[in-house]
Amino acid sequence: MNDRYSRERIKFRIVKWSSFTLKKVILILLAIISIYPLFFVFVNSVKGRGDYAGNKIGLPEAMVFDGFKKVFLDERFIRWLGNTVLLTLTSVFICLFLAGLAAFALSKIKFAGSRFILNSIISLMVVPVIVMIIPLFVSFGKLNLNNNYLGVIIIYAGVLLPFNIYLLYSFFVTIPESILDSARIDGCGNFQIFYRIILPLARSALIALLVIDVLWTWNELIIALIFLQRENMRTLMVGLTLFQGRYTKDVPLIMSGLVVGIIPILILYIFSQKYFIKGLVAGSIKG
Amino acid sequence: MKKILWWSIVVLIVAAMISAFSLSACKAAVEEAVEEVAEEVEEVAEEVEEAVTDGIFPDWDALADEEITIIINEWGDAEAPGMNAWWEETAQLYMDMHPNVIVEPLEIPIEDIQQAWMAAVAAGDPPSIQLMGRQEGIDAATAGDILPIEDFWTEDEVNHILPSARRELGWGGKLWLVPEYMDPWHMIYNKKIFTEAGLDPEAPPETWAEFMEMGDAIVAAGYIPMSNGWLDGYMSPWWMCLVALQSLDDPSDIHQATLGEQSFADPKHADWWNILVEATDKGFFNEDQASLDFISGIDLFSTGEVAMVMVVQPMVRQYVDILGEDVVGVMKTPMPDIQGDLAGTVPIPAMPLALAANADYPEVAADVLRFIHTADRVNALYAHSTAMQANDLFDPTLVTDPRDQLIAQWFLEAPGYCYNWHYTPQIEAVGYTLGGLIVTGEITAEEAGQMMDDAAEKWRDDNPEMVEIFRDIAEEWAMQ
Amino acid sequence: MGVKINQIKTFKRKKRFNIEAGFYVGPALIMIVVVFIYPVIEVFRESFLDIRKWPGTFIGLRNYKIVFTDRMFYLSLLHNIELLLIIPIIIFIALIVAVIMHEKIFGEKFYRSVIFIPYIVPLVAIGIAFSFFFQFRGGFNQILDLFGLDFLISDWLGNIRLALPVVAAAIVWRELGFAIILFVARLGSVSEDTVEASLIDGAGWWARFWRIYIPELTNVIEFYVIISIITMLSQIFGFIFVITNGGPANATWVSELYIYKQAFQFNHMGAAAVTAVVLMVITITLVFVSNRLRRRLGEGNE
Repeated sequence: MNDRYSRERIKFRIVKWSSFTLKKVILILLAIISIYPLFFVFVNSVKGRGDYAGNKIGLPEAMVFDGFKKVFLDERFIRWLGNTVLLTLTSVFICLFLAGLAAFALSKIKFAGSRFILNSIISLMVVPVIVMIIPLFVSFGKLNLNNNYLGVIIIYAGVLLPFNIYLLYSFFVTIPESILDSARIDGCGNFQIFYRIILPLARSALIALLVIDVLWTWNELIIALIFLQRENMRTLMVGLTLFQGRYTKDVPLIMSGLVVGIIPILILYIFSQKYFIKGLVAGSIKG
Repeated sequence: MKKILWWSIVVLIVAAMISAFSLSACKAAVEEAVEEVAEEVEEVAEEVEEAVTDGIFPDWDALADEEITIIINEWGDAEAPGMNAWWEETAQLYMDMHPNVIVEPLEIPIEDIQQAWMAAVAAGDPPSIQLMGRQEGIDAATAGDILPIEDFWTEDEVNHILPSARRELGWGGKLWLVPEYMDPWHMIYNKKIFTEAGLDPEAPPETWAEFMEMGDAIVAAGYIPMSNGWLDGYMSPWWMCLVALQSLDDPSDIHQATLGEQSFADPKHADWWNILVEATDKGFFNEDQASLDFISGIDLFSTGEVAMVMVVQPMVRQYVDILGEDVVGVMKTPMPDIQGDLAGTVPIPAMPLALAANADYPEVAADVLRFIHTADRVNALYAHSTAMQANDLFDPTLVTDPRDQLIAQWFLEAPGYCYNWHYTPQIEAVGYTLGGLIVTGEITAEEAGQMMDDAAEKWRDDNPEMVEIFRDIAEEWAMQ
Repeated sequence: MGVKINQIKTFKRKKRFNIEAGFYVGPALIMIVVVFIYPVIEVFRESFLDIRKWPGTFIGLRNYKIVFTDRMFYLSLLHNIELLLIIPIIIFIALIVAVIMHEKIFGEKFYRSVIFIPYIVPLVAIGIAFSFFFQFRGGFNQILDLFGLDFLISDWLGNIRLALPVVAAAIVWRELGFAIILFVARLGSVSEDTVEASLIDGAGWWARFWRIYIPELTNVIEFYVIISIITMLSQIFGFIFVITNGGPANATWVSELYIYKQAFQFNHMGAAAVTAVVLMVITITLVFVSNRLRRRLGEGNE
C-alpha cells in the first residue's frame, strides 16, 4: 500500500512539474510576443540606415541618434506633438467635467426621466464612430468648424461622454445614500455634495477614467485625420502616417518618430498601471 | 444588458421616423434654395462673359485695403526636388510686389491632395489654386468648382503655353488649367551595370523584347534588371502611361474604351500586361515588388543594384548625385510588341493647376498664375528643380545637362499624352490594383482588361450625366 | 388621516421634474445630441441625398443602388466578417492564459503588466512598425530565417491571400492583452474553496478549466463578445489604414475604409452615408442577436 501511494505521489509530482513548466513557457512566450514589437521600434530607432538594412530584428551595432535629431529639429513634428497634447488635455478635462456632473445627477438626484436618459446614453456606445463623422464633417464645414481645434474638442469630448458617464454612474451608485442624507440634513445643496463628498470619494475612479480617456484621444486617428487636415493642425498620429509615406526609405527615422509617439503613453502607463487596468476592466465587469 | 439593446433599437426607430419626417419638410425648402443658387450662377456667368476678351487683371486700387490670402495646394518636392524652394521664392516675389497679398504654397502629399481638395470644397473653403489632373478638372468644372484660366488671361498669354499642354489642359474650346511644371516621363538606366553585363552602355533596350534578351546577361552579372513597387498602386498607372499608351494611336482609344465603344481587354489595350508576366517569371524584377510601395520600388535604383527604373525627369538629378554623372543615363521607355502611332513618344504631361471658383479673389489667383508664367519665373523653375515649364518663354540655352538636353529633344519631336488623364478616377481606382495582381499571378492580362471594362461600365451606370459630358469632350478632342 | 398621507408621500420620494438636475445633465446632453443624435439622424437623411452641392438634392434610393451594386462594398463587409471569426480564437487563448495566470502565483504582477502593453501602445505607431516588420525583406522573414523556417518566408503584405490574416494577427496581438486581463480580474472572485475541493477530488487542469472557471466567466465572456464585435466592425480603421491601406489590390478593404474612401477620395458622400447606415444596423443587430443567444443558452444550461 505504501509503495503504490508513493508511486502515485511521484507521478502526481511529475505531472504537476511538467504542467508547471508548460504554463511557464506559455506565459514567457506570450510575454515575449507582447513586448517584441515595442522592442523592434525602440531598437531600430537608434540604428544607422546601413545597420538596419542588414539586421532588422536585433540590437544595434552602434547607437546612432540621427533619427531623433531629425525628428526634434523638424518643426512640423513638434507642432504635431503640441497639437496632440493640447487636444488631449482639453477634450479629456471637458469630458470628465461634464460626465461627472451628469453622472452625479443621474445617480443621486431623483428626477423624472433619469432612467430613460441613462439608458439612452449607454445604448449610444454601440454607434460606430465613423457613422457620426460623415454628417458632422458636412455640417462642421458649414459652421466653419473644420480645421478648427474647437470642432475636434467637441467631437472627442462628445464621443467619450457615454462611456465616462456610464463608468462614473456605476461608481457613484455605490456611494451609500446615508452619507448624502446626513450632508443634506446638515443643509448642503446638491452642488456642495458633489464637490465636497462625491468627487473626493471618486478620486480613484476619476483618475482611472482620466487615464483611459487620455489613452483614447492620444491614439485617435480617423477623427483627427478628417477634421484637422491643415498641415500645421495635424495631430501626432496623423503626422506619423504621413511621415511613413514620405520617408519610406529611412526606417530608423520613422522609428524615432514612433518612439516619440509611444513614450508619453508608456510613461503614463508605468506610473498609473493599476488605474489603467482597474478602469478598463471595472466598466466591463459591471456590464 | 438587454435593456441597452432595446433602447438602442428604440433610438434607431425614433431617428428613422424623425428623418423621414424632416425629409419631406425639407424638400420644399431645398427646391427653393436650388432655384436661388441657379439664378445667381446665371448672373455671374453673364458678367464673366462680358469681361472676357482682354484678360481680367486685379483692380489693385480697389483692393488696396483688402487682405488677400492665396492658398495653393501642391505636392512640392514629391516628384521634383527643388520645387519647394521655387515656390517660396515665387511667393515672396509676388508678395513684395503686392504687400496686401499673402501667397501661401501648401505642400500636401500626393496621396492626400485630391482628398484635401474634396474636403475643402465640401466645407465651402477651397484653396485658391489646386493641383489636379485633367479628369478631376473636368469633374470639378462640371460641378462648377473651378474657373477656366482663359477667362482671365489674355490671348497672348494663353498662346505662350505649349500646344501639347494647351490641348491636354483644355476642353470646351478653352484652356482651363495652368501648367505648374512639365513631367517628362521615361526611364533611366545604370551604365556601369550595362558595361559589367557585357551590354553597350550607350544602347539601352528600345523594345521590351530587347529588354527580355538583355535580362539574362544582367542577372548573370549579379544585378536586377528592373525594380518596381506595386503595393500602393501608383506603379500601375505609371506602366499604363509609359507602356500601354504606346500600343495606341491616340488618347481617343482610351476615350472609346471608357465609353464602352472599345474594350480594355482588346489586345491593343491589354496585351502589354504580358510584359509584367514574362519579366516576373524570368526573375527580371525585384523579388519584393509586391510588398514595396512605389517610391521604395523605384528608389532601389539608388543602391546601384538595379539596372533600370521608371522616373519622371525631375527625379533624375538626385540619382546622378548619388551614383555619379557617368553612371546614370536616360532612355525612352521601351516599346511593347503591339505598336500604335504613339509608339516611341514620350509622355510629357504638364502638372495642372486649377483656379477655384469659390475661393475669394479668383482674379488675384489668376494673376499669381500669370506671374508664374513670366520668363523670369519660368527659367527660375529649371534653375531650382531641373523641371521645365510648358511655356515657350523657357530659354533652352539654360539646359546644359546632356540628359535634360536629350529629353528636351524628345518633347520637341513628338510629345506623348498622359494615359491616365483620359479615363475616369473610378477606372483608375481599379487600375491601381492590377499591377500587383498580375505580378503575383492572380490574374491574366485579359482579366486585367476585363476588370477595367467592368469599372468603366459601373461608372457609366452610376453617372449618366457625366457620361454625356465625357462624350462631348471626347468628340471635341477627336476633332482637334 | 392627513398625517398618514404625508408620511406615505415622503416615504416614496416620488420623482419630480427637477430643473436643478437639468443644469447638471444639460451640458452633457447637449454634447451628446450634437455628437450622436444629430449625426445619426443626418446620416439617414443624407443617404437619400446627393450632397455634392449644398444643400443637396433628393435622389431617393439611388445612393443605395450604387452601393448595393458595388462589388467593393460586399468585399469590405466580407472582410469584416472574416475578422469577426477571430473573436473565438482570441477568447479561447485568453481564457487559457487567464486561468494559467490565475492559478500561478509567482510573477503574476509582472506578466499582467507586460501582457497589457499591446493594448495601450498607440495603434498607429505599432501598426506602422508592423508594416515594416512584415515586408518581404523585413524583420519577420528574418526571424523565420533565423529559426531555419525559411520555407515559410512569403511576401506577407504583398500577397492578397496573406495580407488580411497578417492584419488579423496584429489585431489578435493587441486585443489578447485586454481580454486576458479582463478574465483574470473576474477570476479573482472565484471562491478558493471550490477550487481546493476539486483538487482534492483529483480534477485535472482541463476539468477545472471547463467545470469551474468557464461557468464563472460566462458573463464576462459575453460582454467581451459584444465589445469585440463592435471593435471588428467599427474600430479597426487605424490598423488597416496604417498597415495596408486597403491593399494589396483591395484585399484588406473593410467597411470603415470603404466609407472613408467613398467620402473623401471619390466624393460620394451619399454612398458613404448609405454604408454608414448599413454598418450601424449590422452592428446593432449583431449585438442584439448575440445578446439574445446568450439568454437562450443561459436558460438552457440552468
